[in-house]
Order: sequence, then C-alpha cells, then structure tokens
Amino acid sequence: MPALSDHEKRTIRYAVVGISIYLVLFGGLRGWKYLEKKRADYQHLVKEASGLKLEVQHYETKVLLVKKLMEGLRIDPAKLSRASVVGATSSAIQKAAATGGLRLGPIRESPARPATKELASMQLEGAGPVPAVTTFLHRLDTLGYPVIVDSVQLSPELTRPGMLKLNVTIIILDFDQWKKEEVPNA
Amino acid sequence: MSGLDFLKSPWLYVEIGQSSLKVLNGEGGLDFPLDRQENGRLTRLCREQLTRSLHGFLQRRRWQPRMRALCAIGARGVSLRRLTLPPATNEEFERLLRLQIESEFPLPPDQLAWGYRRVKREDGLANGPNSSQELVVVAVKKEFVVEYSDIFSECGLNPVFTLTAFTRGRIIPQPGGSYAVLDVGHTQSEWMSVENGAPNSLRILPWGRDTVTRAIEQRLGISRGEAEQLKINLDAHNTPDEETAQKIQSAVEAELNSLAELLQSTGTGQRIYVTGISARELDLAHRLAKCLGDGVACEHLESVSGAGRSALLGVEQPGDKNAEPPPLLIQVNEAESGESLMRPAPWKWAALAALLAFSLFSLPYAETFLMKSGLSRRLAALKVEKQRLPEIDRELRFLQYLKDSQPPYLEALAVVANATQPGTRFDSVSMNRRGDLSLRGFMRDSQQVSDFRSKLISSGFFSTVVVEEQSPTPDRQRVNLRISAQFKSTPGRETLPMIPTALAAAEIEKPKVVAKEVRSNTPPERAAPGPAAPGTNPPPKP
Repeated sequence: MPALSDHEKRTIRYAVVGISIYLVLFGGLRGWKYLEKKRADYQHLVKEASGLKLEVQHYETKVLLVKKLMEGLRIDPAKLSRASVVGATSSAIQKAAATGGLRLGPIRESPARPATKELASMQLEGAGPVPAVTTFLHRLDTLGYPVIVDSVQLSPELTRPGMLKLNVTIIILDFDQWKKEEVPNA
Repeated sequence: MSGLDFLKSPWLYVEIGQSSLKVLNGEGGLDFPLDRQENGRLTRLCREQLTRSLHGFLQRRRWQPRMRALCAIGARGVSLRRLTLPPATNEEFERLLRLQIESEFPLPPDQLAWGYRRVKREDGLANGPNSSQELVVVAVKKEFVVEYSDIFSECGLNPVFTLTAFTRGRIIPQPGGSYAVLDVGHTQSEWMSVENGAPNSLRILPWGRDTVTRAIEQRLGISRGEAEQLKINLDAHNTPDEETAQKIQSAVEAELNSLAELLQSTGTGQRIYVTGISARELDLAHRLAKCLGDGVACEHLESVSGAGRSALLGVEQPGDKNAEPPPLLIQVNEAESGESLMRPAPWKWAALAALLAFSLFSLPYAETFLMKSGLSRRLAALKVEKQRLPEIDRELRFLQYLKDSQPPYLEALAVVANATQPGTRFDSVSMNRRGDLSLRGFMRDSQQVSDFRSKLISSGFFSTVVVEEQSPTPDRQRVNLRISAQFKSTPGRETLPMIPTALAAAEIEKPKVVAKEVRSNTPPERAAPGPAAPGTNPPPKP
C-alpha cells in the first residue's frame, strides 16, 4: 500500500471528522426522537395510572360501606349460592326459632316472583311467649341470608294464656339477579 | 488564566535540601533543619519533629481538602539519562521504557522512583508511534522519596516530587535554548546542562562556598571565621594590606580555576547561569567567565528575593505556566510514572460536572426505561382490579336494598306498647313491609282510644293513624276498635330518636298492657266514670 501524503492524510482526517459529526447528529436526532417517544408513552402510562388510582380511591369508601353492611347484616354476598340459599335460610330460621324458644308450626314455601328479584317466599306459623317472639323477629334480620320479613301477624293464643301466635311471611331475595343487573354509571 | 482555576486546591511548595527543608505556603514559610543518619535517611526524632512542625504550620482541618505539595529534591542521589526508544505503540512503550531503565540505571525500576518526559527531537519532527522517541528520565532511590511522601501524607498533603534543578531552570530568561545552570551551595554545587530546553546532564560538583573559605584559611593561616569574613569582603577595598589581598585573590582564583576545569570536563556550553547566595557573595559569574574564557557567558540569576524563599517560586512565576510545561515529576507509584501524571484538578471537576449534567439530562429517560415495566405491571394489575369494581357496586346496592327493606316491626311494637294504657287488649296485630299496621282489640273507653291515637301520632313513628272503627259494647264497659296506621318512610323515621332493636324487644316484653292483657285474657277493668271518649272525629263545637 503506497504511503499517504500529509495532504491526503489531512483530507482523510477531515472526512472522518465530518462523517463522524454527521453520524453523531443524525444518530443523535433519531435517538432523541426514539427517547422522546418512549418518554411520551411512559407519561401516558403515568397519566392512566393516576386516573385509575383516583377511580380506585373513590371506591375505597364504597368498600368500607360494603364491609360495614356485611358485618351488620352478617351476609357475604359472594358466598351465597342460589341453589342452596332457600334451604339454608329455612334451616337457619328453624334454628333461630328453636334457640329462642319459639315453637314453629307449618312452613309454606311459595314460588318466586322473578320480576321483584325474589327467589322464594315462606310463610311461617309459630307460637311462643312474648320474649321468644320478639327475639325471633330480631334474629330474622341477622340470619346471614338475604331475607326480608314481608309481614307479621300477632294474635293471642286463646288456648294457652300468655302465649302469642305468630304468622310471618318471609321473602328470600335472588342475589343472582342483582349480579346480572347493569350498574349505572356513577 | 483558566476559568476553572478557582477550583484548584492550593499548592504547597517544598524544597528538600541536604540539611534543611523549606516549605512555602502562600506568603508564609517554614525552614526546618534536617538531621540525617549516615545512610542519608532522616533520624526518627527528626521525622517526628518534622511531622509536628508541618501540622502546626499548615493547621489543616480534617474536613478541608488535601493540599497538593510540589516537593523539589536536590540532585544528590538522582540519576538523569536521555534515552531513545524505538517506535512503539502506547502499550509497548511502557514495557520498553522499563527495559531501558533496567539497563541504564543501577537499580531495577521497582526500587526506583522515576519519571520521564518526551523530548522534542532536534530534527523538528514530533515524537510518535512510527518514529523513535527521545526521553529524559530521572530516577532516585524509591525509599528516599517514600520517606518524605509518608510524612507529607500524614500531614494531609498529596505530594508530587520533582528536582530543584528543574524548578530552578524555569526562571531562565530563554528556557528553550541550550545553557547550563550552576547552583553554588555551601559544600557542593549542582550542575545541570540543558540542550534545546531539555535537561541533558545533572551532576553534583564537589565545589562550594566552603571550598573558597578553606583555601583562604590555608593560604593565610588564619581561623575559619576570619577566612569567612575576608571572603565576604572579597571585593571591597578594606583588606588589611596589599599582600594579604593578593594572597586571597590567588587562593580564590586557584579554586575558581579548579571549578572551571570541572565545568570544562562536563562541557560548558555557551551560557552559564549561576545561582545561589554564595555565588552572589563571591561574584562568581564575573570571575568564572574570566576563568572559562572562549566566549563563554556567565550570568548571575537572582532566583528569588530573600534568603528564606524557595527556588520553587520559579514554578509559580506568572507568565511561565502557559509558555512551559510543568516540571518533570518523579512518581513514587510506578503506575503513575507517565509524564502527564499531574492531572489538573479542574478537569476532575469538569468531568464531574459533565457527568452530573448528563445525569440530569438522562434521568427522565432513565426513569422511562427503569420504571416503565414496573408501571405496566402495576397498571395491568389495577385494570384487573378495576373489573371487580362493578361487582362492589352491585354488592353495595344489594346490601343497601336489603337493609332499607327491613321493616321496623320491633320498633313499631315498642311504640304501640308505650302508647297503650291499662285495660287495653289487642286481639290481632298485623304489620307488613309496606308500613301498614293494623290493630284490632278493645279499650275501656273512647278517651283511652283518643289518648292512644294521640300518643301514636306524637311518637313521630307513624305518618297516619286512623281509628277505623270504635264501637262501644252494649254494656258500655269497653270499646271495640279497629285502628290502622302507616309507618313513616325511612328518612322521616331517621330524624326520630330511634329505639335500638334490642331495647325495643325489651320494651315490648314489659308486662304492661298488651302482654298483660294477652297473657291474662281477663276482662277489662271497669272504665273510669266520665263522659265517653269521642270517636275519631270529635263533633265540631257549636
């Protein structure tokens, strides 16, 4: 390979410097654009995360309220099963009556009324002293099942002084229908 | 002046001589006498005292940055060589240099503190990887330098070492040419010849101020003190007599001739710069020029004013810095033995500033790359959680509906029980979740019925109370009645002092009216005498 003259060396040096500057500028610009795009994507993610965080924070109050209601009513809606809720409710009612000293009579179940999101209704008859009746009514609210007392009828037991006859109609709500219901936008 | 000069840590100048150590810190100075052992090392006591003196002189705090100390050592024990290395790459250069040092110097490089500088070639071509390289290498026994390095490091200094002869050469008016510098001391002189601005040889000459004193002493047969006095007044016309003056002159000239012979044996060059207090006292430049003859010019250089000032002041002479490279440094650590070892502090700061600026610029982008994956994962998890939010809404609505739909049966019974009076009997009490209450029974008289209704209304629990029927029995002992009422809606009831369910149950259980009547099922007591209570709607007054 022939030796390069100083002039040629200088020319090559200038060319290398010029090409290097061009490559640095060109590559730098592209790199900067790439970085800016990445940064914009990241900022978008941050913004989205902030919005989501606000939304979730809004639900924190609702979660607390749900917890309080669940504790007050002793109900966990997630654990309710449509197939067994009627039988379990009936069993719980009978247990509550027996515990409180109320003697239950016939229990009649009637079919559900889907339009009102009800699973079944039950009519109970029973008799017992006043404390047993009131205790039973009190316990119906906290059975742990979605029960609403539709009506109550009290009358004296004529054959047994000091005893009351109780006639209660209970509605068991269908939680599945509530689950399927569309939630209105807050 | 560089814009970054203010960032430099201050320099301390140290001149290490055979018998003394001079420190120059700005305007302040310290002159410490050195006590050496026979092998030239400092005595232990001297080391300790020197360390204490330096601590006291510098008064450095622990938090202050370490000062840099430029330490100039004398030529005693120092070897200077000019070496020529064949063309070599940077990697090979160090290896070749070590080999050359090993062959040229009496000790291996590991036992030497050494430094080098590339010399500009006489043919004008620059040193480069394709041409042979000429170097000036100076080396001294490592333990000599390490001894001082340890002391200075202990005093919070970062020492770098050079030769006093090099710093002395920096005050030469035309440093780029060829010349020689003779520094005359008490017992010996340092001789350095320079060619084209690069040191060529360095020698210790056994000729000093004491040489002249001793010659006068011997020639005149007088004491050393008298000889010293005569030597100082050598050029004055106050010598005792003509004969004595001639003897002194001849003694001095004889010694000067011996010095001239020494210089001629080393190669004088065309110009000699003479430095040192002794040289000024002896008017050595003038006399030496006469002795050397042959057009050799001798010039006395007043390096610095004041006896206590260091020759190192030549390093900080204004205007010299840009014109000349920094003095050749002798490095203790072999890894730093390059010629550009004294990295200026501002570059460190500038590099740090550049790094910080780069970090500042790149931090937002670094955050993007570092945090994005984590944020994406968290966002995906949040989105999954978000799908459960409608479920929470449904559960809340369901539970609220369940709670709101629980009719207040026990509360209603408690209100009724509170409103009843003795003699009342209810045969039937019916309630439903729509809030309808229906009572059927009897009371003693109409007044009781009226009071009962008033109490129900005033309880605030019922929105309407209607006595649908009240009919006195034929014996006028009681009034059969049928009453219907409606619970107030939940928001209206909430304003009332609510009776807790458990308390309501207890209230009902009191053996007061209903229970008593129901339980006993006995006929009512006789009604109190008085007018019959009006019906639901009292007759209008006339």
